[in-house]
Parts: sequence; structure tokens; C-alpha cells
Amino acid sequence: MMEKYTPHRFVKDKTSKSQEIADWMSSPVISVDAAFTVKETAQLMHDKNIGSVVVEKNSEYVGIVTETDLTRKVLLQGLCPNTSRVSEIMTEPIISLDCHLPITEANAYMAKKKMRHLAITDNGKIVGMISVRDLVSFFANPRFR
Amino acid sequence: MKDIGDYMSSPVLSVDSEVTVQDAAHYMHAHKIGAVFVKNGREFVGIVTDRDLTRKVVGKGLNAESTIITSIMTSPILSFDRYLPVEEANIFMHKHKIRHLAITEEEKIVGVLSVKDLVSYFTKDFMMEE
Repeated sequence: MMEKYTPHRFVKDKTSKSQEIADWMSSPVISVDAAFTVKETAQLMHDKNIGSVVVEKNSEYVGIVTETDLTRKVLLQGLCPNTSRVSEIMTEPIISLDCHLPITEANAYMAKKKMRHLAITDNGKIVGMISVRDLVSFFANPRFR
Repeated sequence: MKDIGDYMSSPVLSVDSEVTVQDAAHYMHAHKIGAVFVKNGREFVGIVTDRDLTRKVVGKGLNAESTIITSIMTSPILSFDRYLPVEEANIFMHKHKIRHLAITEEEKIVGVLSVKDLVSYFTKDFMMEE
């Protein structure tokens, strides 16, 4: 049997009847090193066409950075994108949900916390990310409507 | 099917075309919004989102205090009529990979539909089925 978190980015089956987060999240997660500058992080997010990245330090995921962090924290505080480290503006600790929970829980949680991206874990290890766009794909799926 | 007009945010929030990127970022933060329209006089000339700010300002290392908003805004503005079904807006936004869509009535911009509004719309139907 395939791993639960096979990348949907490439194989997403829009007709899936599964209601588990694992089947709708993006996987694997894309990360940057804590020593990356803010500018390098923004460029990577552009290249990968994503709205958030996980920050890695000493082989551990320590924080998450979204476009909102990059714009609000960097531009409002007047930080220099060329010299500021991503670790200075990341959100920590990382908030996450287990990949075997129903996607409705991710939706309720993200709505409550007003988040567009949520890290997803399997056995406590981060294995993917679910975005508000993924929620739309799930809820707009004709199989459920 | 429901009209976009029932789910959009309205009235639209905008900044003047002469403000700096930093001014616009302050405005977006104060209003807790991810996208703002740019107005030149009475005319909407573009839209700026967190994504524009991330990619075109932070990613390029521009100075937010001296960069004028029009140099990094997205233009022309993509829009949809408010009387079209939300399903069509969803397909359009997915195809164009956008999180915010301008909504018009008689060719005038009257609101904005965000990906969060799409979630509200689709979850409402979902709950009713259960």
C-alpha cells in the first residue's frame, strides 16, 4: 500500500472520496534553512509558487513563514530583506494537525485561527501542508455535494 | 447556485496610486486584508496582494519606503460580474492561481471575492448535505 501522504501536488485525484487531511494536503513540505535571508526565502517561495515554507534548523523544523509574515513583519518594521534572517520573522512554534484527522477539522481550526496554511504531521513528524486553496478543492468536490 | 454578490466583501478598500509600498502594507495590516486596490483619482488601476509584496518587493530587495505602489501592482485587474455563480469564480481563480478576484456590477468594481469566501460558500453547502 502507498504511503498515506503521497504528494497530491502531482497525483491529486479530484474524485477522491477520502475525507482525511492526508489525501488533500501538499507533500512533501518545502523548507528553508534558518540562516536564509528574508529575500532568499521570498525568492524560493516565488520559484516554487507557494505561499508558505517551513524553517529548518539543525535538521529540525522550528518555524513557519508565510507571505503575510514576509510582508507585514519585514515591510512594516522596515527590515532589510538582504540582511535579515528568516529566523527573525518566522512564526514559532509550528501549529499542526495530524494527517489522519478529517479535513473538516483543519477547516474549523484554520477559520478560528485565521490561517491560510497549516502544517500536517504523521506520528508527530511534519509531512505536509494544507492551504486554504486545498480546502476549497475538497469542499467544492462534487462527490460531497 | 448562488451569486458571487452574496459572498463577496464590500465595499472595496483602496489606496491612492501615489502611496509608497510601506504605506500600502500599513493599510493592509490595519484593515486585516490580503489585497488592496489602487486608485488613480476615481479609477481603479490595479490590485496589490501579499503575494505581490512578497515577490516583487521582499524577493527583489526593494526599499518599501521609496517604492511607489504602482510600480509593483498587478494590472489590469481581473474581474467577474457579481451576478455570476460562485462556482464559475472558483474555476477562474483556480485557473489563474489567484486568491482575490475583483467583482463588478455594470462594469464598476463593487467588491472582492477571496479564497476564504470560497471556503465559506462551499462549506455551507457541505454542512447542509450532512
